Amino acid sequence: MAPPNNSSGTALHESLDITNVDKPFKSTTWKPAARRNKNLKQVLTEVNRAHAASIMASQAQTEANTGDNTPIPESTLAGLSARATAAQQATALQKLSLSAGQPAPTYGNIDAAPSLHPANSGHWCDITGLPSSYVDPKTKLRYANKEVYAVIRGLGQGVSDQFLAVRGANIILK
Amino acid sequence: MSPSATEQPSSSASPKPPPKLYHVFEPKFPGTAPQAEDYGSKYRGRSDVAIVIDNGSWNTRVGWSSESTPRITFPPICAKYRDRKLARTFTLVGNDTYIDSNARTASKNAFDVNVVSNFDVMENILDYSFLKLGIDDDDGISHPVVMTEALCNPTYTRKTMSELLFEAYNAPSVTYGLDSLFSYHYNGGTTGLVLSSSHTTTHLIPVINSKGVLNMATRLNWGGSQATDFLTKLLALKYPGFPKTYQQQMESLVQEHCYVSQNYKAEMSGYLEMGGLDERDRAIQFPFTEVVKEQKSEEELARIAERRKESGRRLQEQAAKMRLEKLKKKEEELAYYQHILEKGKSETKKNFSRLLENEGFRDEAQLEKRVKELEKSIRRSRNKDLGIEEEEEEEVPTFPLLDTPDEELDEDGLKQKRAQRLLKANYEARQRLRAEKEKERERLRLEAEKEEERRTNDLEGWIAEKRAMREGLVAKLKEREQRKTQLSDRKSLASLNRMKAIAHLASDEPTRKRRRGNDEDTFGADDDDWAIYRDIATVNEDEEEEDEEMQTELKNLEAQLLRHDPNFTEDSLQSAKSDWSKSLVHAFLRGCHPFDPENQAEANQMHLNVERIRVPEVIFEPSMAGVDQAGIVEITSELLLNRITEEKQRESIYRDIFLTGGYTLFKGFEERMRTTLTSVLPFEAEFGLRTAKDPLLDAWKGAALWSKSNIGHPTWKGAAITKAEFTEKGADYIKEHNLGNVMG
Repeated sequence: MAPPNNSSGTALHESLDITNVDKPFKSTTWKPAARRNKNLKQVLTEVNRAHAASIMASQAQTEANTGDNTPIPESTLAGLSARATAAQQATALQKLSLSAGQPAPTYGNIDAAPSLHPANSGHWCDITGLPSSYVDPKTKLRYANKEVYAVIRGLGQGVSDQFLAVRGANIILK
Repeated sequence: MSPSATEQPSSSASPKPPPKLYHVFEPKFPGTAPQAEDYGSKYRGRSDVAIVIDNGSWNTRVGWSSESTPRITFPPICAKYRDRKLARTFTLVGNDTYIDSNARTASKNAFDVNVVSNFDVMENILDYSFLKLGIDDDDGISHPVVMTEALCNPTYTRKTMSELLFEAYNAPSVTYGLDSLFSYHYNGGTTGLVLSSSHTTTHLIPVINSKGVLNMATRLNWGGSQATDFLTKLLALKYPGFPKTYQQQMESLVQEHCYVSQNYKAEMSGYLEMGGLDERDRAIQFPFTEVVKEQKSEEELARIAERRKESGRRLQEQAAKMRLEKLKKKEEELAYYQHILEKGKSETKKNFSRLLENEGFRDEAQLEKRVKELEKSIRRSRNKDLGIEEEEEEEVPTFPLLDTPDEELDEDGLKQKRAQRLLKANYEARQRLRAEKEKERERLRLEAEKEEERRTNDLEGWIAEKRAMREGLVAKLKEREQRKTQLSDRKSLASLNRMKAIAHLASDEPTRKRRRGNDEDTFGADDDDWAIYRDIATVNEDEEEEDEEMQTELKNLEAQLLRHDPNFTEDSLQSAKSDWSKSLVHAFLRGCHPFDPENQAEANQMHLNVERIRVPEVIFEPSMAGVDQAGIVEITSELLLNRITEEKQRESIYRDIFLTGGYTLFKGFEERMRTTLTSVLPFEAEFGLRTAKDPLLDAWKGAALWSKSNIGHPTWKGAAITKAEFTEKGADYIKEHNLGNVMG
């Protein structure tokens, strides 16, 4: 690609550039927040942290509640039983709804689960992708036939790991 | 890992036509996107027309809700870079970044997977979009915004987007919705299962009575971009050392050549078979700069040959001249010495000897010898000039003094006799050597004759013998090769034996044999004992030499067989054993044509064959690419059969399974979904499957349709967040509506 050294190229560049184009619709006072760019991982970690904190808080609250509501012997306070059962009913309902209803869908929890039938997935040659019924015990690569096996034998150091990495079967030492 | 197949054997069938070449494409700068001129006349002040933005990770599409198609479509990328020469910062958005390599390398994507992560880029994209729409209102865009977002978009992302839209652009209201649900809406669906497989993710969302049931929504982390990455990895491993490829090139390959196989296992098993491979195999030519080898024309070649000949002639002439001069000098010398000799006959002995001394000769004999030598050399060079091959008639030297007894000789004579004896011994040795050589030559000739005779008399026997010899050699070479590879493996038997031998040699302990009473160390008594030292050496120079010898012997044998054995053709040569047309690896790497590594065009070709179905297949079997999730069919059936519990709902959902998103554009996708779903769903289930009219654009169209029909209605109020609500309720406030996300 030739660098845009001629004047027409520069003119074209300038016509495309929107840095200094007048944008009347844009607020003049607006300033973006500092560090607003976060990648997905950062965002999700924050969400998880906030979620964990809220669970902790709610747990602390329920613990405090149970501490408050020491069970009162029924026989002694029969008059209060009606009110007590009402309160108990409410909490029970809440608990039920919490256990029965799924948690609200979030970005983190809508991921599909791993397969329940992993045996159904085929074995494919790591080199050629053909159906394969052999595994090289040394490199753990699957191969289709002896010709491919010869190729595997001839692989340089570390290359077999790259092949395994394609299907996520490589061992990563940390 | 290329097989050693190089040239097509000349004897094989008629040559195939060269493969059809496909080229890789990169997105080119399409030219300046037109700036809308009609804003003032058509849309200024029309707050009932929304700006619809399909904010996807593959393409951003922006337009007016009253129109049927988006005004602009571009990838969500932005290049902001400083041109040092012009001392100026450029901000280029979308397709404009393809204008040159500077912009290309500086371009950044707004998305991380399917979620906006780079809001600086996003802001530029919005700037660009509004500019291209021609909006020139002061203080804000003054049109409601309808924007798509990711399924279960994280709150932070939505919040930042809202801040951007309300605070920077002063949008009167913003509505967020899900692209796939908009697409379904556009295609008239009310109850069904939306399967949206797009650039970065694949989503499944059941819809009941036009409302997305988000708590049953599922995501599979596979889409077009992952497919592109997968292909990139596969090709990098398939062609190590291939020149750099670009993501866009790979994208074009995925889009152009990949398709969904209807029966993956069956098709895959036969994919590399030679029959019909030329149809399945796609040769992709990558751009390369040809290093032109200078082609000389016939004339030039002739001229060069002529020049070479000319200079040769000149050299020859010069040499001849020099030789002539030398010859003349020698002749003069000869004449002079002869003259002296003549003189010697007439002169007195005393004068003559003085004369000789002056000339540097000891005695007359020496002078005579000199004369003889000169004569000889003159004759020889004359003959050479005249081109006469003179048989060197070596004159038998005489050794007269040897026969005279010592007593008759004086001191000088004795010395001469000794010298003569030496000369005689030398001479005799030479003669013996010559005779031996002659004998050897004779022997070889006889042998060849004998073999010739044998061959003519008993060709079959001869051939059998030669073949057996060849077989033996080949086996031996193979064995050596095997041993070598075994030695490289520490645990192999060969290595173990070697270690044992070393340990045994190093130990001072008496061996078992000796302990039995045979006390003598007999090592070395047999010469073969020493071979052990040769065996334990890993790199054996002798062995390599031997290998080479065997190779040459093999070559000789094969040459003989080629010449005389009618059944022994080029094909049966050891080097042709790895015939490319029978090689699976060759078919995989180079398709159904021979490969010439010298050919630069071919060296810059990739062959797509198994990848064509392997890459799109991952969505059905994600473990192929290391994604630890169930395949799309399993997810779908699990959702339909187990998670939707109400019978009636399930049945109505069966009836409308709706495919949308770019991944569904793969040829055969819908058909494959149909056949596999039929096999997993209960047989009485009456299910319907359809693909969006336009899997790419329908999300935008649906959003536009929805906006157009809802603006001013209560449903609009229930979905759009107004500026007032934004300021009052906070940046992360959203309204749940049928086609949008829910509070997380």
